[in-house]
Amino acid sequence: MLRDLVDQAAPPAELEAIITPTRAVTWGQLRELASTIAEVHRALARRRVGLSFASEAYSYAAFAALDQLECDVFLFDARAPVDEAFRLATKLRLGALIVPAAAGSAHQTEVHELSDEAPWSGNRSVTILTSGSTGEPKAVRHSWESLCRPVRKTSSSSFPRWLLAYQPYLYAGLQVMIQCFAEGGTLAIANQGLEPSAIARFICDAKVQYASATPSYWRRLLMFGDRISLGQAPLIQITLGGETVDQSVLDSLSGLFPSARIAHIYATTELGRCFTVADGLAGFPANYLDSALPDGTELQIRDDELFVRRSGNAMTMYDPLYSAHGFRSEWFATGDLVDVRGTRVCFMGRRTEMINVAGSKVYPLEVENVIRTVPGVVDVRVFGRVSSIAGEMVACEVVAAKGQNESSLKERLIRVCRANLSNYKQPRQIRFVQSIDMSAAGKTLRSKAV
Amino acid sequence: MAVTTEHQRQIVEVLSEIFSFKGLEAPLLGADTELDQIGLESLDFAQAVIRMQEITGKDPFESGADYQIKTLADLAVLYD
Repeated sequence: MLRDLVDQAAPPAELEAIITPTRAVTWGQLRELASTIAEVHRALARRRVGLSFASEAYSYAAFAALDQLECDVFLFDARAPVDEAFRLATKLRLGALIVPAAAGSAHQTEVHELSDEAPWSGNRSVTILTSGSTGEPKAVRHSWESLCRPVRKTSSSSFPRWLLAYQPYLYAGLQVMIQCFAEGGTLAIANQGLEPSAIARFICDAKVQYASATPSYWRRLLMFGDRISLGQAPLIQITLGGETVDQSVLDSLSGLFPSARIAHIYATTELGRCFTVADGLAGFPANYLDSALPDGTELQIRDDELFVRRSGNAMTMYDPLYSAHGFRSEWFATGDLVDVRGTRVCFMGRRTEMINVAGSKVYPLEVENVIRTVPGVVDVRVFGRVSSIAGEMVACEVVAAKGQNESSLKERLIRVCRANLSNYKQPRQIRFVQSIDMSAAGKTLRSKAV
Repeated sequence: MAVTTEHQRQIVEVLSEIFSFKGLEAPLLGADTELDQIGLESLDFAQAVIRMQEITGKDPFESGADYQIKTLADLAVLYD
């Protein structure tokens, strides 16, 4: 399917397929590389194969090759320790694992055969190992049809230029790649670990037209990147996904890119993309709850939590060898807490992120939204801190704007919280930090502190 | 009564901080200050225990022990 997409779009061989801050690979080179890998690794056809996926052209070429060989492909994080990848691959009963070759090798990848391989599923598939911040990842299998379903024809001329700001081996990163390649575009990969100012320059230099990233990623970029150079990027569309969008990041983006279409996506690894909101407001219209959306997706609120049901055949399932639950077209508990406010459904945070202060519920997002209004605060993370007296207390980490006096900022922050939040919602522990940690998937980490 | 131990002094400092957090002027605090007489709410107390843990590395309430605390000095002793 990946090969079909690419062949259908038929981008010129000399057009760049993948660019990183250090190199560019053309469509011609990518096709050739994929063919070579498929030829060399013919023995992997119709088998369960793990691919250690890096933000590099050869990973995409290997992916296309495995697709051509009709494999059940399992995507691994190339930056994770190799031993961990082998442990997981063995547990998943894969037949082989493809990892980056050692330095000096003739090829860019190496294949390690594994014993105890389970049978091929009978169809080419892609299994994503979800980014649990703790514990074992979940193996979620997708068909190419389910992965390609959200692909839309963009309004621009052909060969769009997309920024890849997500992990390439997770659902969101695959979506960006598929959307881009389906139109024969150029994928601009801002490598992990790149400083926000360098990302801003890269976006400009790479002439990115479409950019999709988490709100945390955008916030960091707006906060530390050079807005003047960023504002010169020819962005046509900005997409936010992967975590809840707050109004301030939408406003900042529309201020900087007044002519871009700005949309936020609601998706889960298990269900894929559920709906898109593009009216410039956080949350989603309450009338989405009234009837099925045009693509058949249904939404419901049960006990403050958003439930989603996808119509039609189940496209997604957990790998039966790894995760116990099968998934069919039943109502799915998303773990996202919502509140209907007038004609809008607002996201209140993750169920597991909810802080329980002496029996009272506190949603981190609500507190974060208040703190974000304090002048001098550039970023904030609110989380529960274990308290021997109250069960949990609200704690926060704050990034102060350059040149701010921390103690006077702290006083202002406390005053604003006191004026806008109930006693139990006010953060009782305030720490200043240089930056807010993000998870591998680019989301603000709200794991609880002990 | 003034403070006589390091832990008492730390608690006075922590409680003063919490009063200012609440936008209130801290009352005069000493070893014999009765903690339920100064307008300290349960969450304020929880906050004080967290602050003291940061300072001393110790949380005497962690084990769920059922202490009888009347004065500031009673609380301070738990950190000794």
